[in-house]
Amino acid sequence: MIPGLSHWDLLTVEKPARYLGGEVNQAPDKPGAQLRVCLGFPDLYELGMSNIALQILYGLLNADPRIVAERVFAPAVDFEALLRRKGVPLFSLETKRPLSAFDVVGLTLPYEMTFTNLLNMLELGGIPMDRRARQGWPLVIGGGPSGANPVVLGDFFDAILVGEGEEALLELCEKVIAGKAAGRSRDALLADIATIEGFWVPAFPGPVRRRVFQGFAASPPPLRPLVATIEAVHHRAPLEIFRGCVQGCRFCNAGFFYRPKRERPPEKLAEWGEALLRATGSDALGLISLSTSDYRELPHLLRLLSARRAFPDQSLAVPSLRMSQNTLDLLGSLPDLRKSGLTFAPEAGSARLREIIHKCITEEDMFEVVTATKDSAYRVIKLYFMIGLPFETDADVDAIADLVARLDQAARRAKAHKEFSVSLSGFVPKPFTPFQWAGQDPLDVLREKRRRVTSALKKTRAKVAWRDEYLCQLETVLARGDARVGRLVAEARRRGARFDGWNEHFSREAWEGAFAATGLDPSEFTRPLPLAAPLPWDFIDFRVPKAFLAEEYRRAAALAGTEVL
Amino acid sequence: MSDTPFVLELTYARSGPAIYLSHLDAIDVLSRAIRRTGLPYRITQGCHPRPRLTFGPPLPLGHASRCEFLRLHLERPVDPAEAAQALSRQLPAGFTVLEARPVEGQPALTGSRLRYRLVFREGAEDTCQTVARFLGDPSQTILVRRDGKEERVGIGPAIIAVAPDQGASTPTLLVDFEQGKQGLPSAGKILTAVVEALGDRREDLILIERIALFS
Repeated sequence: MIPGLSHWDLLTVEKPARYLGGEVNQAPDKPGAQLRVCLGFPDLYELGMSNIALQILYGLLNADPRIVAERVFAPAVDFEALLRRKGVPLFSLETKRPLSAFDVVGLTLPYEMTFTNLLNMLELGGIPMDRRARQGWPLVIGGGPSGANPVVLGDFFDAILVGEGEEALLELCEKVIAGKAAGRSRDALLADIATIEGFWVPAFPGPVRRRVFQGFAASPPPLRPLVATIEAVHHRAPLEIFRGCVQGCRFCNAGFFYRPKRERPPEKLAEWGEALLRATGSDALGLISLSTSDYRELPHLLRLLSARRAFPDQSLAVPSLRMSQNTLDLLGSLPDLRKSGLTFAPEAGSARLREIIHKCITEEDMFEVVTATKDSAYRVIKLYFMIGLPFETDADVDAIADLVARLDQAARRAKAHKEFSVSLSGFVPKPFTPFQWAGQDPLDVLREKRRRVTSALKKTRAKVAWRDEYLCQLETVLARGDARVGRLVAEARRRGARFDGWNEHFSREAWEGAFAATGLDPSEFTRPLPLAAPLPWDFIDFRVPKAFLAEEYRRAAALAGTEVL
Repeated sequence: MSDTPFVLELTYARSGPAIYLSHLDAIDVLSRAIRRTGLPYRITQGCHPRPRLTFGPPLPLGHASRCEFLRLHLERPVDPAEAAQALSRQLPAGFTVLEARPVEGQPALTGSRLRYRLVFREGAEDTCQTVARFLGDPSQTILVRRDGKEERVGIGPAIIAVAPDQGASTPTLLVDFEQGKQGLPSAGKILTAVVEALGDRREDLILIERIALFS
């Protein structure tokens, strides 16, 4: 089934179906195709198959009769070991070709903690990691939210798309098809790709403007998405109802990366939702957006979606809702709602700090929902907080446990049987957000603050989980880095770093060794930056003026009664 | 809704990529395929309704089969051959519907006796004989984990017959197992022990296929 691997080899790894393809809605091969693209996601199959970007691009490329798009995911640690032991290169799921046999390898850049996986996939696929060492095919391109600052990955990618890929990737394919037919050199082709709006080509650097897919609202979502054969993280039919976000949270990378807000019309969404269920056989339709409550006609949309019956056992999953009494009333009126739990992301414990970070969620909403759901099936209330936010005081830190304790008491008073689950994470400043200049607390400070919160939470019934502070620091280095950080990533990978977002795989030793070997100090990337300082990503026109971001940062500082540098 | 449901029993094969799915994943794949067919399936009661299906004994990961079955409860009678075709069209690579027939009442499920075909590669007569001796030895025991403890269990009572398939083009064994009774190791566990005992010679064994279920 896979050249070089036997049946028994496959049975030595966990979930061999991750590597075999053949799913429902897999695109048929086109043996005479003019262009062969392998789309890759740098994490496990179960995550990659839940990624909407991959499904969108796979559908768009395969709809072109000249193009074949296949898939590859990051091999799990056991499968990587098998590939290396047997000398088998990393291959695509569809035709089992090694990555090096494609014309274009397009890798999504979903989150920074997958950077080592990206490089590992290139090496396993038989592609030189250093772009300067490549000759001929394939071209290695990337794109996604963690490529907003593409500079870190500039040594490894021939081109990185800043922004949305629907049109840009097809334009790139056009150029490659024409270039191949005309026998153009790699360099000539790359220079040509650099002229496509949104692409940064490290060999031919020039101004880059973030690409926005203006036709989003009128375009259908992928209506025949691939259906994972093993349980995916989101195992439902994905319906993206709108793109962009108007909340303007000052820390949020996605909120700025996907601007402006573009809504698909409710009638079309209802039609597409039914088509998606019929094409996937999924029992649940999952609405996708950054903040579902901001869809202008949400009650109308939900009623339309519920009225369409593809299956007698269908249900609707409506995540990313800002909970309030109104939302609860709305959800309560839907017959087939899949209850996904109550989740609040106040991010900060005090109203003061929530105002500073521009997170519009009030205590009133939370208290109202806790008491209003006392007799409902919503048992678990999840709360997400960040520690170390800009302008945070000790009182703000203490306010986290205080808020949870008061919610807990309110639930008891109302005789509501609730379990609170609290997640804590260190603040990570991200490029192209108003907080891109903000510093990240040093590790010991973050750790001390987190201990204060967890210790105070012991007095409540809340379950608490937190993200290791070292990972938060590393994410800042990867997000705000420059080309030197790319070399750090390569060194960490060489020392065995993989799946850095997974606690069970994270190797602090590999990263500390890489910092020592490259002479880089994390504090260089985590300290506060003056507004006047040049930033590695300044050459990108993000369609959100730097002056606006700076003004937002100043506004936050003013709310805190202070000024920024 | 009719009070007398129509139950269709479908026999299907699993080969190729479909042999690398767990029982639960296979149930999910089949449930989705049934939804896609548009057949008037009945659903289960409860908070998470699903198509009402009854499955045969789970197929261990890595085993092929040409005798898997499921019972599909429908709201009204449908043409069995058309239903089989509709489902075949909706299944991913490696699943093939072989037959569909209506069943009356609630006949007992088969599966306490299983027939397997073990196919070895050309020239691997020695390995085939080793396996035949292993399975044919009434004193043979295997290590089984039960309730967190490991114990050695005799395979003799679980093996009904071991015989070479004379008509096959490469060395092949036909093995009948009994399973489901107290203390009997399952066919899956016995075959795993066979493969472990073979060590590197396991590469000679190119197919483990369930070919028939009996009651």
